[in-house]
Amino acid sequence: MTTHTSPASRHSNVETGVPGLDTILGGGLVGGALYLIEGMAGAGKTILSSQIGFHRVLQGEKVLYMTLIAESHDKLLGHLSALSFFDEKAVAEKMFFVSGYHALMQGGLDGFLKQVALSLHQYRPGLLIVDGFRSAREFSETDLSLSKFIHELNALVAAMNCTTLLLAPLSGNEPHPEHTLVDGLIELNRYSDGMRRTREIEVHKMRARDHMLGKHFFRITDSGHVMFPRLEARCAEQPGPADLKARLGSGIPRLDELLGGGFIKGSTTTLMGASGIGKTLLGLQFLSAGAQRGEKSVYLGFYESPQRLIGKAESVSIPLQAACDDGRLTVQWQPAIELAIDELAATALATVKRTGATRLVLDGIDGFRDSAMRTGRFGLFLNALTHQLRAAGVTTLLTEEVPFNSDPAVMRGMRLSAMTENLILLRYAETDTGLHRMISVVKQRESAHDSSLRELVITGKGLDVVDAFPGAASLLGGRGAAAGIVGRLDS
Amino acid sequence: MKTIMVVDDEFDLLTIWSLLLEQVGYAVVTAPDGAVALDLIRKARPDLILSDCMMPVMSGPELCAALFDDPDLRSIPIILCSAALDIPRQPNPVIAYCRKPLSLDMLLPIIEKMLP
Repeated sequence: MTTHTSPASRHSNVETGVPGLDTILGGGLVGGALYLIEGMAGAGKTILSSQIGFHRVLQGEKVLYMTLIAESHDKLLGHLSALSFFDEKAVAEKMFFVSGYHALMQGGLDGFLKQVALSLHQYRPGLLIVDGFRSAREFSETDLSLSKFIHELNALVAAMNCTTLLLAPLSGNEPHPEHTLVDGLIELNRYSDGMRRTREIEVHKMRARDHMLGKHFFRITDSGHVMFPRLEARCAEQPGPADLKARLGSGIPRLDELLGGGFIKGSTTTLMGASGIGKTLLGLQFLSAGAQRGEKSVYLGFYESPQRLIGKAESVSIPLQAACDDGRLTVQWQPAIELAIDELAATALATVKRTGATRLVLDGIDGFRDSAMRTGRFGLFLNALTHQLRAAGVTTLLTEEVPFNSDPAVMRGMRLSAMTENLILLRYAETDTGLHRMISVVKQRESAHDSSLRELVITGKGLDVVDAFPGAASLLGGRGAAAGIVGRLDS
Repeated sequence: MKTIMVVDDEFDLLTIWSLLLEQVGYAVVTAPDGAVALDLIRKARPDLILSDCMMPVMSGPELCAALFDDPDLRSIPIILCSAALDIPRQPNPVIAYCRKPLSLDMLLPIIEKMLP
């Protein structure tokens, strides 16, 4: 005689449909499992669970939203109706709102469990949301009675193959009995830095899933939650064998000579120098050279609007307007205000992938760094970002501003520059007749290069690299520093 | 109303199968192991037994054997469940085997077939 097994396969995956969340969860929720979502008031628990609910409705499931002491149903629906995922037609047809409060008041936790069983049988939902679970906590006379209730609820929703989300206030560091009995524990919280606040999610526990540990930034938009799994926590894709022969020209032949034939395809290079020395123009020249070959390029900057940027390039004979108009060049400008680096990185990567870009300029890595809320992670973050860019097959130039006449070997940017394969240093040399822009390739990790000092000349006719004038090295602000940098980077 | 006896050492499963089976129209009695179940069965014969395998005092297969040995109880339909891959086959004349975890959708058609 055969053995009957449940038609729902064990650990079936339930996608949440919330951008980024399924990646953090290790694929999604487990079908028929019980989850606790904790967060302080205003953390976004109701929006998150409703967003998942309406997504499950789109997948053809029914959803039951059961409230204890929480918002009234009409207020709840009123607030949700402003969000793009809200589907008014689904309410009462596919998404049902019922109160469990009376059952809890009259019959205690046993009465509430009975009501849940009744409702699951009546509505047959694939997803159950219990909002205001705090009331059940407060109604339990002892930890044991609450543990017994959670145990029974877990068995009940498993038997009904109904994935269940319990929404409760944040319990801080206090251990609650339900933490050990639920299948997953998700915390929505905020991080403060001075006057800034950001939202963060952390998955503390996720049975049967290899979830991402630690905190991840998220935003609540008109479309609901958008989550950004920490780049540095994602599994690194193994890069394929590097093609060291394929080079991308900069559009300046003498610079390509210094680089041994151009930028290595898929490499990341930092252009480092003081304000006004030509970092942005060099980056734009690189993009323009790509556009002339029919390649797609992306520029992401913080300080100059697209109109000013293109005007500036055209004034030194770097043609970009046509490329911008026909889509060969995508310019993204993010004013340097309170930005989220995870979102910036996600935007950059998505734009590169969407446009099929082969060249990218991230102009002002300082803009990224100044936006970072947790500055301690920035080095690993940048490393992860460059890794992902390499995996996307794009050749990237980052610009990094340093103070005038400082010793580059001790500047804060050096550790960050060490995370890119190549480093081009731009320094001012002052003579009786004026300032000269000096350029040298300090580091090129994957191939030989010419480390000679050259002069970068910027005129209305364009950019050029020419031989350095005699004695230029002795006039550099950070004289002899380049040798020091190489020594430090290699050690 | 037909009566189903649920035998399981996990209290949460006794609770929820009582709730769910009562909702679909059955009377339910519960027992935490095979020995308690056998005592209750001798006092009031149920129409069907839904039993776990691995339990203290008296296991599911031992309960099946005791029922088989009693001519008056031999014909009671049994659904024997286990989380283990192989459920030991029993000589009882009306018996079905189910792998845990159980779901209502899996169980109901089996019960309805055994209790027409």
